[in-house]
Amino acid sequence: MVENRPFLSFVTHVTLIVGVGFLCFPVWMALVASSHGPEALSHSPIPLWFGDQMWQNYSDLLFGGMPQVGGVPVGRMMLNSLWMALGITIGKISVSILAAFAIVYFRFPFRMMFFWMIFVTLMLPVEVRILPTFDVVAKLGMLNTRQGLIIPLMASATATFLFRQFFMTIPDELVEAARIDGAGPLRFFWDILLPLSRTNIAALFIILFIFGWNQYLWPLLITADESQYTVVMGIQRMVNSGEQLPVWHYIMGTAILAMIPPILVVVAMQKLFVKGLVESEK
Amino acid sequence: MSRRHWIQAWLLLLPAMVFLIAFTHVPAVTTIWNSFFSTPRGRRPSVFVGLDNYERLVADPVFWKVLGNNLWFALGTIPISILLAIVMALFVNRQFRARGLVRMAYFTPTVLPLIAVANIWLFFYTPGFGLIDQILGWLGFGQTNLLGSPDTALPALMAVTIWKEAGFFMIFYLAALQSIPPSLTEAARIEGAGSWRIFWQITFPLMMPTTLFVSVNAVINSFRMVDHIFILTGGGPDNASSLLLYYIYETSFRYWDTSYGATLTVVMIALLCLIAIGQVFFLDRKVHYK
Repeated sequence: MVENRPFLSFVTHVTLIVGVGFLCFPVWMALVASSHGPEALSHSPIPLWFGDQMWQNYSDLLFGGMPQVGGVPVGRMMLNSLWMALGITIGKISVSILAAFAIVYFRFPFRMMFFWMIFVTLMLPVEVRILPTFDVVAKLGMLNTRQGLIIPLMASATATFLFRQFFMTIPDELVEAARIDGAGPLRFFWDILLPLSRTNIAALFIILFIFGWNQYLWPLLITADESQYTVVMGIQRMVNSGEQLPVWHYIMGTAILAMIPPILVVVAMQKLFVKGLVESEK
Repeated sequence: MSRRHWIQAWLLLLPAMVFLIAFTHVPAVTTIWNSFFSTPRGRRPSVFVGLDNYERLVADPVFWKVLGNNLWFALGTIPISILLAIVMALFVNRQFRARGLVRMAYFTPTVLPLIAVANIWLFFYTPGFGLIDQILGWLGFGQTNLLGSPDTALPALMAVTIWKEAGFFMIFYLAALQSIPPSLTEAARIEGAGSWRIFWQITFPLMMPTTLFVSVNAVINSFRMVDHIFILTGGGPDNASSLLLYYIYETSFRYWDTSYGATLTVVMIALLCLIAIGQVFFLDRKVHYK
């Protein structure tokens, strides 16, 4: 839509800029707030420009312990989050790609039954079944463990569905050619299917990583030990720290730290992120 | 195929099936089962109570309240988010400098942890010195307590949700816009149609599958997104901003009334199944553009 109407183009630009401002302003505020001392944030007017405490605040957060969260440094929490996000991502992708491979390329008894058993779970995201899934994890003795945090979130059909859709677009001739050349199913998977799925795996990796990193409710239920807290939980603990006034400069610093990995991932891999999102939600 | 291949296929499926059965199928079935029993308390074991939990549900004013809240939450967030998403997608689909940067700014809120986002907004909403009160005070109004009063608590949550979701939906509309052949709009333009007409008669109808897809997902999301309640209101005041999932969490993990929690979960699963069935049987058949 290229139109040469100066007024319209002016309106367009203003709208764009206002939109960007509206969406980015909260993040900007958090960044500014995290650079001040506690006094500056507890009375009006709230500063709109950086203070001089930024490095002090962030080094306190990353390496020192916060009393509100049992003295666990935020750096430790970020590591916990990282392990959880990576565990969910890698686990889910490996389990799903194998299942999709079996469903698409093998003919075996009960194939359709397995297919439906997997896809019926598309309707049951983890939030919906938190209570019963929690019971199962408790019975298996996996409360307060990393397995308990990761494995239940790995069990979902979305990734299997995505890989199935993708595998079905691979031409049959390729399968035939591999068979004629004497490649067995596993050889075919390893040498042909996996390299072809590279972009899909990367796109899915990004989406799942962000999904895993942002999890809140599930880790809240599973972890009891403060040293196992994820950074997202840490924020909530600091906000609801009982009677004391919230320590805004630290809370905002933690929020910024919690936002950095998702933003980094998106900035570095914008195209893959959009691709992954559009395809995994279909 | 040979038996060896069957076994290979089963082995490939094994991990997925074990995890899904253990953490999805079994829990779903036990929830339904548990909803017919009483909650074990102290020495009293759980006993079969038939439909008692469901009778309690029907008579529970809080249940109806949170269900109503969920409805308002969906009605208040979804249309506005979709409208904003379409507008944003139309804007960033043109050619201009720094387009990639603007697009990224638009969908950045989507990838941020909801808890972190809610916590920034809490800072805005704080009575007295929060940003909103500062602007209001500057304009000559008095203090507000948006999160503390029953009329505004839920709308305050909705604002955060819209802020976060609009960019998410925008991505799908952007993908839809890019799949519309430019020859269509060019032809319309040659025939003398204006931008407005082109949007309503070509672009919008062609994006209908996306709108339906996004709406269904938005409805499901409106049941799933509760993280911000933990930070902003805790469901209060007087359940004015509580949603179904948050009520399930409170019942099950704060009051440990697990049977009633299971009953509520059954209702939620049933609602989501209805939505999914509706999607398959009604929506998919009416949309033939793709």
